[in-house]
Amino acid sequence: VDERARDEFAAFAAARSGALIRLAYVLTGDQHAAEDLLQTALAKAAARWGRIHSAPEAYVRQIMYREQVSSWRRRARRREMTMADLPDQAAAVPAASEETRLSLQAALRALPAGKRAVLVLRYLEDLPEAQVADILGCSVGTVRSQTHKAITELRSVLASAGLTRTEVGP
Amino acid sequence: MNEPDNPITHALREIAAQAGPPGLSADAAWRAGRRRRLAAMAAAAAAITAAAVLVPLAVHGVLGGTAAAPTSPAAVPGVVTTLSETTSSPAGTMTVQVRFRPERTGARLLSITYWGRSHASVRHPALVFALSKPVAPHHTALVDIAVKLTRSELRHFAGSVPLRPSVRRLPVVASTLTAFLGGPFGPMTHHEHSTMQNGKSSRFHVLIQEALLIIVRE
Repeated sequence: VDERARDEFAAFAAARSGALIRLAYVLTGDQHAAEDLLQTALAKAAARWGRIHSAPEAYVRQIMYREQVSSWRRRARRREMTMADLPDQAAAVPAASEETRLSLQAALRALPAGKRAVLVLRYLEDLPEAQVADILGCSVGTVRSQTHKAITELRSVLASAGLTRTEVGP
Repeated sequence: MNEPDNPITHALREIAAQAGPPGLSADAAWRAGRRRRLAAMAAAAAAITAAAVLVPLAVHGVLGGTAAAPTSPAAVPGVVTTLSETTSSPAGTMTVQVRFRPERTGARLLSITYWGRSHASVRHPALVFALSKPVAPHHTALVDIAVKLTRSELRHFAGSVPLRPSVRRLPVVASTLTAFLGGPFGPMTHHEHSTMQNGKSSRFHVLIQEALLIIVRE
């Protein structure tokens, strides 16, 4: 039974690790951190593999979201924070929309993990607030406030870069 | 929900597309998961142990040999009391020392320490409580609680059980009842009983005086 479960797990990891690493990268903004996050999530899923009867990917994704938020909190308490590298600027002065795009990416990468996770769930995974709250283990009110604060921060970053604030947000 | 051309959605997709190939090992993750599962099981056993040691009682350790007469000082409220019990057997000796402080609302167990050299070793002991007979709510008869220590290997042992004094509830295995400790700590009665199952387990048997246990339904 253990061998079969192990084979199933290996097949799942091989099939879905591509999509999962992309999610991990969006959450962490760093390739090594993304690989660590995915490895941790897969290890946690492996520990309960026999009891995950359906949707193992959703289970792994939920672990990744929660793990990333909680590990960021731990790092913040230790005053150690991994900041993603800002994308290299093009040699030529980019057009306004291109500049906005790069600045927005940089601003997203600089967001705290919790706010970034909320935006990923709301805007990339396109999930309703209730489901986001369920995945993150918080209230719908928290999701709303975190979303609002995150968008406010993005607008602030873009405004400080001299870009229009109306280009971001719903 | 969100318009598909939302700039945040676009930016997140672009960031995701920058991810490199996953440099991970499913086999390593599986092995890490297995270690995590084993660690969780050990932690659960330790939690049972921590809950178990809150019984304000006299522990009578028996390893298949003849127990020495226990020291049983009178329990005076507020005064820390120590009970020591040394048990001898052909395999060796074991001493169990119980410290507790009688209080107005019951008794607070301070420590259980055991040491000795015997066939029995207690590493990650699993303590299992079981009522020796059915107990109705608020029943005042003597209640016998067996604390079974499952040993893991044959070595000498010494150790102490960690305490969580704030916890005053004791889960009763295989029962829907939870035992609360309450009432005055009366004189204790030692109850000798032991089983030695092929040298693989030792059993501490305790007897709690009348009215020390109040059983309530959850």
